[in-house]
Amino acid sequence: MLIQTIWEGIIIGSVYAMIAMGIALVWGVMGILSFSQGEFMMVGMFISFYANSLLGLDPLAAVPITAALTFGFGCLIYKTIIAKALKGPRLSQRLITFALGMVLTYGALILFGGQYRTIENVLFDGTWDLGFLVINKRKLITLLIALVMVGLMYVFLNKTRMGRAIKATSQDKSAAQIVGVNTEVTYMIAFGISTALAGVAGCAITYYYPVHYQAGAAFLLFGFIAVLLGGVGSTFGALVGGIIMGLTDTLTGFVSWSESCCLTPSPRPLR
Amino acid sequence: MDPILEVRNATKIFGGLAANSDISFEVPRHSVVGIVGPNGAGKTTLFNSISGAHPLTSGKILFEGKDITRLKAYDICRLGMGRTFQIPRSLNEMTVLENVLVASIGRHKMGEAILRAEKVLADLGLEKWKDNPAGSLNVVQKKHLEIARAVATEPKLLLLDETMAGLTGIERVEAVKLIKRLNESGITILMIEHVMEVVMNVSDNVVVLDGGKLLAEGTPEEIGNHEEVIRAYLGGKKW
Amino acid sequence: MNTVILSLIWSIMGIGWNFIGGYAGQVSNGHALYYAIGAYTVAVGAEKFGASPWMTMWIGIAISIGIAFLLGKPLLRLNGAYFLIATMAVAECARIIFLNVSYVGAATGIMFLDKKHSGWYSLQFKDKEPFYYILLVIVALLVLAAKGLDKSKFGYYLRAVKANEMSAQSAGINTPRYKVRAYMLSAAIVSLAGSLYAPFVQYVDPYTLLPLDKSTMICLVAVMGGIGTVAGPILGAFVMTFISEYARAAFSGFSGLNMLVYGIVVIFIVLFMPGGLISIGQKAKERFDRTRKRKGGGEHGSDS
Repeated sequence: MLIQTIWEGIIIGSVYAMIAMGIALVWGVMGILSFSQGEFMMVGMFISFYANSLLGLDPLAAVPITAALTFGFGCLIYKTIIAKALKGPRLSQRLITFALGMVLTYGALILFGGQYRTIENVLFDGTWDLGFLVINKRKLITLLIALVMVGLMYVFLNKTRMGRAIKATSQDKSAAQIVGVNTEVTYMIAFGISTALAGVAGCAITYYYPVHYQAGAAFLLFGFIAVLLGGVGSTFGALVGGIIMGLTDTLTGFVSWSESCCLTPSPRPLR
Repeated sequence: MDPILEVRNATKIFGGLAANSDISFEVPRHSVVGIVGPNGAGKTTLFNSISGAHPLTSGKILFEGKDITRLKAYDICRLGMGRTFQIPRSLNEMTVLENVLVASIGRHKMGEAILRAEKVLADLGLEKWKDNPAGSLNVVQKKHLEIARAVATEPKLLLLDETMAGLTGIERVEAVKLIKRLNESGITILMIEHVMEVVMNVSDNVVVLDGGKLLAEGTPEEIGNHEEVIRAYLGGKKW
Repeated sequence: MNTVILSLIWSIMGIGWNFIGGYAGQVSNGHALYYAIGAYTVAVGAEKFGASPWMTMWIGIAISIGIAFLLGKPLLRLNGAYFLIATMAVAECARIIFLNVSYVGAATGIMFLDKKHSGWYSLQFKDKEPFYYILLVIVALLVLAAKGLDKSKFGYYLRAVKANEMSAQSAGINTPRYKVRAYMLSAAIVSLAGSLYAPFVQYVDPYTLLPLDKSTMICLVAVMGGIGTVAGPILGAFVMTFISEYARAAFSGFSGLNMLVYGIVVIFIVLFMPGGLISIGQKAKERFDRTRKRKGGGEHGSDS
């Protein structure tokens, strides 16, 4: 039972890790604590859902599509909104991402309606019973996607030119500019990647988590705390932080947490 | 002599590196004491320890005979020690008057505090800008504002951190006059200074730091003739 | 009328948040906690003991101040985003507690329609008008208090803390103490807002009082109006509530469209009015002053 709980914690933790990496990236590079990360995740969930129900694609196959779409979407958001907000005060930047989250949430409600959806056509289904541990194949794939993303991020940040530029910018903006890093482009790419990370997290979780316009919000706070635990600007830290949060989540029996968020009565007027 | 400040074996370690090690000296009441030393000698670290911005790793600091080693900056300020920062930390969103008012209001009721703040601003030639936001001042004015805020706390001992840096010749002459005037009004002054001529000119005593250690201490004449100081700091050139 | 009443309640929240978030610059994202405490205290008092909100609101304020005192010290040691996340987590924990404690109705909440007592006792009026006047008086008193604090030692100290904590300390300000005081004050005011909201809707539950985004909304009205100003939170509360309520009426066919509009408006205000809505007024005044000055100058010119 304990092993099972830990296993589940690692799986949900790996999803938190993906979100945390995105938050840490934007926080580290441009100093914005992004409140819209949960909603980017929700966008990823809907992309995965429609890829599945309209095109019959398995979420695994939808990962690259989701990544590409959310990356582009992130870059667009950066260009149109975030770049301008960066000139303003810190608090305004945070509130803009919060408002952006609102726009996405309620935009999704208007476009797709408020019902819960689950994906039907998956390649891998069922469970393996190992005796001491029941492995749900759907959840296993979620974990694998998360681990691959963490690995890719690590390689990207440490081995590629752009990745190093992002790292340099997050350490010292002016110094990075002096050595010829185009911070404007770096910022955009970083924001895009952060959005894509959340999108892929959303895509990966559709394997076993219902798709809903408010589904992302529940993940935000866990993502934040995972970043605090893991440290800003560390891929590995985000993974560890995420998994700690996942374990806390399952071990303390707060699984009801995310459910209770889904039960939030739909469109609340301002009260 | 009655020392207003005693630094005893002050040691401050940052992440395994000793920024200050085993520094001891005294500041006599009503004197002007200059601290000199090359960049990285640990002057500002020492200032921060004395004024309570961070605690010492070991050693003691006595202010008027009272142990203030573990006190916080605001308590030390209340006891009568004011300080300025090397890089001016003006409260940019507040007006120039308000910048000084936040200091004088700690000692007086509102009405009196405003009068005192205005007087300090007039002393430092800032009264023209008193209703402007502090953020609109230039660097020299901001340095004066730093001093004004520190003076408005009505200190017995004033710590000045590189007040002269970035000033032109004439401005320096003015600043030296200001320091002398403050000293004559009864404030003891401990100052970090890069500009040697200023230190030699106004100080009663000079403390030389190098590599986090106390290298020498004495009157300006003694320091000017101190061989190690000349070698380490003045680059072999006799002062 | 409902919209105006809601705006006034939001104004109280905005004014309250402004003390810690606006003046002292410590952005709390967990003030829904105190709102819920205020509302629940009144609801529990009315439902279980038949107590009047006039009395229970003080208990709510006392509890809020107590909790703010206990939480303030450790939380306010954190800086910027860390404080924000910590306060957010505290509010979330509070929500889980309210969701699970059956004494306060757990997930279903508490309904407390009071038909026994007069409206002045229970603060539940058939006709909304008296409640509106009560709120108006309370908001007016709070504005007067905020105006007084604006130019007081406390107000200056908080702004000094916001501008630069280190230099505030070296000016002799005990910054931790003043931050905690500001936090307690703002918790008390937000709690009062909750105590007034509860009898207005006669219903409390964790979903309406403590949703994830509630605390951010509180912060939002203050910032949209004009952070760190007396009138800002009220302006923000009215504008944002009216947008949300009117958009809801106008697009009643599309649920959620009002919040979409709300979000878009926030983005626009933040991008194009960094000083908040109040900066429009200030800019207009500046322009007016400048034209007057220019005119004055012109006359002088023609004289000489």
